[in-house]
Order: sequence, then structure tokens, then C-alpha cells
Amino acid sequence: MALNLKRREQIFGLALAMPAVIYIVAIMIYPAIDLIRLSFSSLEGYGLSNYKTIFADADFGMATAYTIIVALATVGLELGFGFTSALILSKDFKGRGFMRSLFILPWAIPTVASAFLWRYVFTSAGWLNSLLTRMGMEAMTYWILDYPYIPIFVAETWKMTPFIMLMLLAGLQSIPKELLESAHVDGATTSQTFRKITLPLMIPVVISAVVIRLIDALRIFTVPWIIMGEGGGFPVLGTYIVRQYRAYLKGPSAAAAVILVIIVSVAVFSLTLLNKRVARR
Amino acid sequence: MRKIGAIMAMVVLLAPLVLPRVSAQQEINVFYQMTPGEDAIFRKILQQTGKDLNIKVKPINMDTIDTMNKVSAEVRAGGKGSVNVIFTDVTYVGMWYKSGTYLDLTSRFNDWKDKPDIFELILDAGIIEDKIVALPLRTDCEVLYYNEEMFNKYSVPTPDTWESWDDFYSAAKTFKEKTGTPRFGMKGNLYEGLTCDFLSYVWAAGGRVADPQGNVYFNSPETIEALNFLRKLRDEGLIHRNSRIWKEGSIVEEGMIGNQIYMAMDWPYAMSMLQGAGRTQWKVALTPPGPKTRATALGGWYFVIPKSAPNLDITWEFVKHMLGDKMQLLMNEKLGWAMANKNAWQVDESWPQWQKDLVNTQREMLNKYAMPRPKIARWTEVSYAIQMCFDRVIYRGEDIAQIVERTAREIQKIIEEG
Repeated sequence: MALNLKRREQIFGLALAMPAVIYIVAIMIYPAIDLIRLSFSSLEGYGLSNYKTIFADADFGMATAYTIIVALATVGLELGFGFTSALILSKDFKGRGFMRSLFILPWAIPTVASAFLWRYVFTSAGWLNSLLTRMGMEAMTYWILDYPYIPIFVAETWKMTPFIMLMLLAGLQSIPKELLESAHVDGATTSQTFRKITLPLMIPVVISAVVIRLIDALRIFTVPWIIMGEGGGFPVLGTYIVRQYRAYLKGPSAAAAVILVIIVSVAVFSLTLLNKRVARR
Repeated sequence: MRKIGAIMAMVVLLAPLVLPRVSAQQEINVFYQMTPGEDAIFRKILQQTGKDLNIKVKPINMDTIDTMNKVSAEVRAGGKGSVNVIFTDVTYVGMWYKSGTYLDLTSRFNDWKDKPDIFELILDAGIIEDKIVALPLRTDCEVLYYNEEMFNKYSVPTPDTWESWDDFYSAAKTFKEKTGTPRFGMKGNLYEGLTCDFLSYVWAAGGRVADPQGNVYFNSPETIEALNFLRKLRDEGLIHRNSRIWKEGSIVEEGMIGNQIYMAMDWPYAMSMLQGAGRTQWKVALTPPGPKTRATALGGWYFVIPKSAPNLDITWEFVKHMLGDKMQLLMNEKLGWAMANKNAWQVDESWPQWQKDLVNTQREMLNKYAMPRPKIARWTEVSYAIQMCFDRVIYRGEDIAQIVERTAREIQKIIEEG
């Protein structure tokens, strides 16, 4: 009787979980499996031909390299600027609320709009060149074509630094004030307090912020798409995948998407491992 | 009282099952992909059509590839789907044919009494293997835009006096010498617009991509001649460098309105943007005369009715009405389009001069020099190969003959695989 009751509860529990299970299978698992299937399918049947095609394509190699460079560089810059601004905004000063709102503003702007804004800044007849010319300097005419990473780094960093800053600010505020006060009473300098107390306590928050941002940064698409379009000599994996898809090269597009998923997974897995090691220490 | 309550409950419960069937007979879903500006006007046109036919026309602005995938899924599922009509670019006609999800309109079109006089070239581009895959709504082509004020200022002969590519080259060179900057721009970003721009030169040199039998002619001396000319322009710095990131919209906004270039080929929409920005010094001319001819890519929009379309009779009436004189003239007037129905190729005396010039130039290009893209089912892939050919030769400076051979092999492979 007791067993029956337990089984009934199990069935009831399963029935309750079923809508969520169906949702996850339909929305997440099925598309992922279908993507993998598509990446192995071609006119000749199933095989590795799509992967061979993209690995033989110089643009794919370039896109992969640029994606990793952009992700590492922008997340690094965002972390630097984000940490600095979080430290400043965690202090008590007049107008702190206003400054916090101001710092968050770029994050609130839609990515498409901010990408266009930076295209207008960096295009050869754009605001930057006209400013440089007015200052009497020789204008660097083709920023987007000759130094494409600069507009992309700037646009991406400007947009996403507030996100890192917000996460780190929350982390800074969760550090017990007693710890900082006792360090001060014991005669620790500001630098010592930062290195010995603030930084170690912030590492888990930093890693979490970096993991979230890195996933996002590796999937970068909108900013290079708006600034460079479908070519422009600076492909990233996101734009490469869409370009292949628009040419109706569905198989190679799916194969490139699978490679991107693998890169993101490796990055997340490595950082999670690092987080665990830090936590153990 | 209970009985009345029970009947009312039944009515409420059954209503959702019955009502959609009633309304489905009066509603058709029309899918298309358009810019916001065109979309706003086009919705009004569709509303008018709905009023005329006493049906509800629901416009859905959606990516063409997504619509094709939706239709494929609906056809595979069997029964009736939710898509009645798709307005699709000429680029996708081959793909619709290959997908096999289209309704063959041949018999309906042949049985149509008092059918309008449709521009033959655009009608033909929708027919594959004697089947009408798609019927044209409108047509267009690229023309050459030039800044007349700058041509006069620097004493450069205007494009209407050009007799060969040499004149075109001289104009580009003079501008570079006198202003220190290249003043000729292209839509050189890697997308379909580049294919059209690039093929205009190949066609003008007498070349072609492939014939209807699937024979590839891309690796011809004519293609090499066209690429040699473009490479010369590029090597001498006569093509504006931003061409690499320009496409529809950005070339007008940044290049023409931004005063960075003085000449470029583009579609008719560019003139509305120029006029809207007060750049009235921009004029239109026929595309530059090449070694064999002038050339421009034939553009157009088509109706495709999927096999799974519900309410087929109403849908067909809708298509006929949209192709009729009344609606075609309305679209010609409101959107400035060159319509598929030749009765709507009118120039209204009340129009401003720039609009008359645009329509007349476009009409001449369409009648004499427009070239349809080859009827290849997997055109988007062929187009990709052509864009990459341009990319490798012009941007990366790779060997012309080798790249042309390689591209021809890629095209041949795509065609053979079907």
C-alpha cells in the first residue's frame, strides 16, 4: 500500500513536471539535435562534408580567430573599466545615484542603435575624422577598413561595461564592512586592503561575470554586422554563420554554429573549473 | 434555466472552433520582406485590395528564408497552411522551384481572360521548365546615378555622353586627380547587390554565367575582361574604399548624400532618398557602355502561391486584382515602382522632373539592356560564389584567371548537384 502511494506520488510528480520537460525538449533539446543533424547532412547524405567545407574555407579560420580575439579583448577591457567604475561608484559621494544611472545608460541602449552610432563615429566621413581634422591633425580616414577591431572593441566595450560594473558593484557591496573596518584599524593601507581583502573576495563574482560575458562575447553578431555588413574583411563566427545561411548554404552554416557552440562550451567549462579551484582555496 | 445555461455554455465552448473557419474564408495572409518605409505604403495598398475584393488581407513582413521554411513545414504537414501569398524577390524564384512547395500557376494564368499586358522579360524570369513558378508584381533595374553639379564643376563629361568604358575610366580618373579622392562607389559588401553590380560589367563585356541547359560560361574571356577593368579601377585607387562596406542604403546615405562619391550604380529607391535629403543635383543615366553593350540586372518582385495555401480561389482573385490596371497604377503612383503590367508604365505630367527622368531612364534600361539572372535553382549559392570571386580578385588581389576558373568550377558543381 505504502509502495503504491509512493509510486502514485512519483507519477503525479512526473505529470506535474511534464509540461516543463516537453517545453525544454521542444524548445532547447530538439533544435540543438536538429542543428547537429543538419551540420552532418548534405546532398550526398550524412557525413563530414560540411565540416570539410568550412575547414577548407580561409574565411572560417579568420572568423574563428577574430571571434576569439574580440571576445578576449572586449571582456578584458570591460573587466578593467567595469571594476574601476564599480570601485568608484561603491564609494559614498554626492550625486552617486545620478552617476550610477549615467554609467548604466549605454547598456540600456539597443545594440543595433549603438552599433549604428559607432559606425557614424568611425566611418571615413564620420564624427571622429571630422573632429581630428578640426583639431588640425591629419585624419585617419578609413578606421573601419584599416583598423576594424578598434570600432568593434570600442562599440562592444562601451555597450557592455555597465553590465560587468553592475555585477561587480553588487559583489563589492556584499563584502562585510566589518572586515574592511578591522583592516583599517589594524593599519592596512588602501592598497593592502584591496589586494588582501577586496580582490580575493571578489574573485568568484569576477569569474561569474566573465563567464556570462564571455558566452555573450563569443556569440558577437550585431555590432560587426552593422559596422562591417556581410564582408568588410573582418568576419566573426556570428556573421559567418548568417552569411552562409543567407546564401542558403544551410549545412556549412550549421557546422559553423556547432563549432561555435563547442568553443563557447570549452570556454565555460574551463572557467567553471577555475572557479571551483579558487573556491577550494 | 439550466437548459439555457447549458446551451450558452456550449455556444461559448464551440465558438472558437467555428469562428476561425468562418473568418478563414474571408482572410488571406500575405507574406513579404520590405523596408519600413515601403512597408507602410504597401500595407495601404493591400488594405485597398481587401476593400475592393471584400476580403481581409493580413500583411506579414517577414524574412523571405524564414517564410520559405514555414511554407516547407506546412506543405510537409499536409492539408492547408496559413500562407496564401508570398511576395518574393526574383533571386528566390529558383529556390521556390527547387523546393517544390509552389503552386504551378500555368493553367490559371492561361485560362485568365483579359489578362494584362505583362512585361515579357520579367514574366519569363518567373517561368522555369514551362511552369509558372511565380507571377511578377513589379520590375526594376539599376541605373547610373551621378552628381551633375560636381561633373560640371570639374568639367567632366556627363555619363549621357559616354561611348565606352574608357570615358567612364577617364571620369573616375579626373575626379581622383582633381579632388584627391576616388569618387566612384560600388555596393561592394558581400551580398546579392554586389552580384548585380559585378554582373553588369560581365554582361556589358559580353559574358554570362550559365545557359538554361546548365552549361557554365563564367570562365570566359569576357568575364576576365570585366575583371581586368574593375581591377584597373581598383589598382589606380579609383573605386572608393568604403565600397567594401557599402550596400543598399549605406551607399546612398554615406556615399551620395554624404558627398563622398559622385557616381554609382543603384536601384530606383536611391532617388527617393536623395530627393528626401535635398540632394537635387543627383541625376540618372544609362549604365556605362561596355565593350559589347550596356547592361543592368533585372530586378523584380513576384507572387508565389504555396501548394498549401488555403482559400485558393480568393487568393487567385487577389493576385489577379493586384496585377490589374487599377492596383498597378496605384502602386506606380504611390511607390514609384516600374510595374509588371505595362499599362502602368506611365509618366504623369504632374510628376517632378527627377521622377520623370528616373522612370524614362529605367524604362529604356529595362527595354534594351536589362539582363535576368540565370534560372538556376540554387542561385543564392551561385551568387555567393560570384561574390567571393569579386572579393578574391578585387579586395585580396588574387590572380584573375585562376579565380575565374575556380569560380566556374564551383558554379558547375552547384548546377550539377541540382
